[in-house]
Amino acid sequence: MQITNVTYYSFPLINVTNIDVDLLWTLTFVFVGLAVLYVVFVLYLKNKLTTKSKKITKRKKELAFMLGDFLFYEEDATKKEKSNYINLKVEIRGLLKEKFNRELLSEILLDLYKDVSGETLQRLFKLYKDLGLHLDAFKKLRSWRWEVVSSGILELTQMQVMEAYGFATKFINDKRGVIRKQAEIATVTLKPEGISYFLDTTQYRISEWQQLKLLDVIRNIDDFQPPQFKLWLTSTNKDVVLFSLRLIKYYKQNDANASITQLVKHKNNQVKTEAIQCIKEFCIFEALDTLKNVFWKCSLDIQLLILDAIADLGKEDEIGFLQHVEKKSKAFVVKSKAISAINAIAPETIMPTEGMDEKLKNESPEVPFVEVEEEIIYEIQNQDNNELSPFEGIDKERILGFEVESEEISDLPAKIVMDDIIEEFLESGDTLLDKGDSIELEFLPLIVEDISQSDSKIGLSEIGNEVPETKEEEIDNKEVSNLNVTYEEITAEPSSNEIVENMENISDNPQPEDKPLKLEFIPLVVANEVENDREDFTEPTLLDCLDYLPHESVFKQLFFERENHNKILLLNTIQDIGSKHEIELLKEIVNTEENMPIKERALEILNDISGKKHHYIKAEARLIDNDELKSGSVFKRLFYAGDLDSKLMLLDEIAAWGDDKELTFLNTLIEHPIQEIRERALHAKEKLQNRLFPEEKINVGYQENDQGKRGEEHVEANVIETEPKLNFVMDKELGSPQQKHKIIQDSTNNSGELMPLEFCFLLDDLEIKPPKTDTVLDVDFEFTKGFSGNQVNDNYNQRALISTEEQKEQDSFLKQWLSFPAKILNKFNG
Amino acid sequence: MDSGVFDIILDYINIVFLVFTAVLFVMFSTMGYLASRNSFHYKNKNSFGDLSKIMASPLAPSITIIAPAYNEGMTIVENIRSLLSLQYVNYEVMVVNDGSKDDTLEKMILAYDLVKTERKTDPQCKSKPIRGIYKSKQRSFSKLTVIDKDNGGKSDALNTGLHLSESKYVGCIDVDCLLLPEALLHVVKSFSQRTKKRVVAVGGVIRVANSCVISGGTLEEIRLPKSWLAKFQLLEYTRSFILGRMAWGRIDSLLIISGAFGFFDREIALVVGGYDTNTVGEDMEIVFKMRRYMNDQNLAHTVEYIPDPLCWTEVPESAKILINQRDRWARGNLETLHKHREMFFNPKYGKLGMLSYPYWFFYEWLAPLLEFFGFFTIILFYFLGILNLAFFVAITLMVYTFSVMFSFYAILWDVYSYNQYKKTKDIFTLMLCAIVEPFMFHPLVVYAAVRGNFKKLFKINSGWGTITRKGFAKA
Repeated sequence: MQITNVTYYSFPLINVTNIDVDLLWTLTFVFVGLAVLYVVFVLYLKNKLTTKSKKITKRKKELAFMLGDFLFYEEDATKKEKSNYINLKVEIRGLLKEKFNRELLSEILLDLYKDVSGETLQRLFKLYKDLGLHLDAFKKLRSWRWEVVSSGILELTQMQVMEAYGFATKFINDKRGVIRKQAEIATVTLKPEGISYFLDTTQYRISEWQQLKLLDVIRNIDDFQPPQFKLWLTSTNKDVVLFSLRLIKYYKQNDANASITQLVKHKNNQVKTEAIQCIKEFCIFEALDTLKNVFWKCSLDIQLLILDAIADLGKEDEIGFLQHVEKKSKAFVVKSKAISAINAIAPETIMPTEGMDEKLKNESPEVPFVEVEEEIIYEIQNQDNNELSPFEGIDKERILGFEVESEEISDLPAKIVMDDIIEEFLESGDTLLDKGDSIELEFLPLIVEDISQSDSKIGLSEIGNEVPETKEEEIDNKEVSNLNVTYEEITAEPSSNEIVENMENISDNPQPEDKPLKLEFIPLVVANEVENDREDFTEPTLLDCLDYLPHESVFKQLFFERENHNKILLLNTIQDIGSKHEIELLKEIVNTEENMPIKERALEILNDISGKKHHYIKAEARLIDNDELKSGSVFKRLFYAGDLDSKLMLLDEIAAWGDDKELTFLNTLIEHPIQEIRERALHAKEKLQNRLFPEEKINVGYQENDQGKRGEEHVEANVIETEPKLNFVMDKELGSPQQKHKIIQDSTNNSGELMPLEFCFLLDDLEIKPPKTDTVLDVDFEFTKGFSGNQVNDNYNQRALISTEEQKEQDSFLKQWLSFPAKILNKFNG
Repeated sequence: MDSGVFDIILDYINIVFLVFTAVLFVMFSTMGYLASRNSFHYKNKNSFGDLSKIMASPLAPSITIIAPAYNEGMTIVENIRSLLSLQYVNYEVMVVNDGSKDDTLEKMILAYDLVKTERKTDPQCKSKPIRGIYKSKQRSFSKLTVIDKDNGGKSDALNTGLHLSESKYVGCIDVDCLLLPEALLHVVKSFSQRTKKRVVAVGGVIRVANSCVISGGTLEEIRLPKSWLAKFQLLEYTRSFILGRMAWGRIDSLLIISGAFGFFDREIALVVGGYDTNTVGEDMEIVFKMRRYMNDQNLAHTVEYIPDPLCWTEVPESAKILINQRDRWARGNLETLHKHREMFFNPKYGKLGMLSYPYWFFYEWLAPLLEFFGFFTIILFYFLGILNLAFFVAITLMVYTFSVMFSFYAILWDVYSYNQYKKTKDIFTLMLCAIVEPFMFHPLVVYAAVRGNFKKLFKINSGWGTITRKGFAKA
């Protein structure tokens, strides 16, 4: 029995207390009991909190409503309103008999205090007193519990009970911190002279937080007349000094310079900090010597502040001290600050030394004829839109020289430096200017020397007129215009015939809208000759330059030697500055170039420059004019865009509705390699002729070649484009007005890429460009479910429900279109 | 072996366990009492004044929030947005991209229109090289600074932030934590309200955000986690923060501040060398270091603790991740205690040396090991036939009921202080967790602690591990 009850025995070495197992069980039960008690407490507490919260909310609603009537009661109210008001007052008086209601009313008024202002706030204070709630607050001041006293002071303070001022001041040096702090706030809040009283009498330290709150109180007092806070700079309470300094700084009382300067020597870092900030704020120059004297005895943060102040206030006399600091100080931040202070006093005294290229470090800058060299870098971004975009950071503020260095960014495949191109054709003796369209090169000082004779490099600062003028450019222009300018002869030597021809072209093709040609860019700077005679300056027009313009495209040679991406860039340049001289080159490019994007870009530019619409027919590898197309059959384009069934249907339609233009077209189809087409075309032609010329009978038949086979297809595939872009964005909404152009592809080799005829109409009507069907992911647009489902179907149903079952089975564009979201999802799902 | 000697050894083992348990009971009871008093005091003291009035004060001290980010691309933009919406006038958010391998930096640059800025860095800063310092071009994000640096771990990232910050106080937080808008006001108040002691650090309670509803970076609805593992951790956090740290705070003996929500006096943090990059328990180590420094310099100081629920974080819902996390905590604990072993029962450090450090040594580091070996001892004794079953059952039940009672007490104070889980069902669920925790959750924690210690003692390399977060529930 003993063994079971007692665990530990006595040993000779040490006496171990025997532990009764029953004790353990007893403790266990105690803990269980406590646990149960806690559960009960938790439930009780929770229930109490919930009930109280509900009760308070309910009562608050009622009382708030009543208080609202009180607060917004007008003196000139009607008799009835006055009667109601009095009844309400009686009712509230009745409620006030209960302590709970009084507490609640106080709480509501304190809540309202945060939300109202002006006259209503004054009424709130009056009501608080009228209801006698302040008496309860005064009672709280007699409590022994610090939190009750504090809440009493807080209530009286917030309700602006002036009578509480005397009571509050008694607590200003209370040993209980929370009460003291509330009393301090009450003292400062209730009377304007409270701050003075507080600073005079407080014996305790004032925490940072308390200072923050006190400042918040006084800066929110209306018409507060701050006392002269310098009076407390001599206080023995360092927190009073500190707070006074802060108040001096806040209220900008700059009449205590000597005291503030003296406080830099205070042993407390916070006081020092504030004093230095005041010195800086009030520009106390006489404090500089003191600052320098105390510098080495201060902590790091104070040192930084001192350096900051010296940077602001110091003159060149201080540079010696700062250099000394820079040398002696071991702290990186102090050194750094010292350097920055030196440069603040005397800009660029200390130049950057870190991270310099060793090769360039010791080189003296080349100054040719003028003081500063110009360095303008062109960066042409080969973006998707293939537009020239100038490098944004033209960071030179002054353009004084004319030696332009080009910088090639070889590691960026999408970027090239334009200077190369420019340089090349300058070397060829040509200029960029031609007599074509209006050229606005407002951007630059185009500095041209005698190219053939001078070794100077010439560069343009911008190409294209789309670049917004930046500040830098404004500065550039200003500085350029201030230069002494002499208009130099440009010695390009075109033949006289060419000049005449150019002149004729100009007169034949006047500029649209009769705009004068702007060449504002030609301040031709000759060395650094100084002539401040701007009046002599007359803006040269294009005519002035015609003598020097070439007749053949200057780009031709360049173009065919270039890589593809450079070709695109060169085309961009042609678009920007090219003239009609480039038309032939562009045609040549379109006809000979194998790279489709280049070809299409060239076509686009060609259309721009020529003002005509050209189309490229792939099968024939030739260009045709829009006029040529226009004069042809209206069915032609639709025919080549449709699939086989569409073509056959279209031929029937031609037979039924066509006119004599269609006969020519049908003639071309008679030799079509597809038998069905040939037959249907023949039939259609016959029918059409019969319809148009019922008197005549024309025999038509298949032409056979030598091997007895039918004639080869004349047109294999035509691409008829009005905008030769491969990629396009399809608006989510069908029929977006953005889609003005159409791309219709035809390839008899791939029937899957063809469209049913009705789609040609549908797409025309909806102004949709069908996607390039190489891969479905090449298409750059988004589909929504609504789009892929309802919208397409609705549109389609209205206009194109005649599609046959066979067409549906084919891999038609519609099918691809509808299955696109599924394909995308499949791609994403791997 | 002589049976007499064997009996003596057994008895001494019993004595150790008994004393250990008895002291534990006393300490926990005292902690309960101190925590209650502190809670009362805190509640009364903070019922005065309106914090929001202070948020625009010209005297408001500057704070930098340093948030290290490593592969946080999924949530970084939203997390920064939350940090930028805090109610305070004078603060900066410094996100340190610690060489993320994902698109964290790119997302930040894109979302906040960041540009690289030129800024000299202190060559004395021993952190990994800084690749760039970014600021936003937009004024609305002017408080944001992003530092891109080579990967060096959380401590290294925090040190970089410490060096680059120019504020009086720095806050080191986990970027995926959700701070309540008024968090900084509480922090500033805690730093500024003392007059006799310098507040070197401020820590706060970490609340469990799993299953809570977060919308636009703000906490919309507090919910009890759905995962049982998260529920257990919620209970554990409640015990630890509501009772444990509250009690240690009451006697000014706090030696740890959670890495997810810790604010420091930058000057002191720099003087002590910032975070230790050689430990995984850097949050604990820096507090040890700062307190030691202040003690050594005879400077009156304290570490403040804010019990208000200001920081919400997601806790692991998978056992594996939880074990990794606790393994790391155990290693960090051991590393820190070892590094500052001079404090152990050293009266020079006052309560820190005589109470706080020993508590950490015996009840945070040693307890799991004792539990683990105690468990095997019981099995051994049982097979040796020397287990006094009646005693074993009695003492086990006593310890068990004590732990349940203590958990209930923590729940009680949580309800009294903040009453955040409004449904009675939630309270019962937590109580159920308290009942089953010793069997289901506690063994995991003990195992993780033993594993961590084993790794550390046998120098098995182990880093931080990864914590996969599921993300807060969006409204």
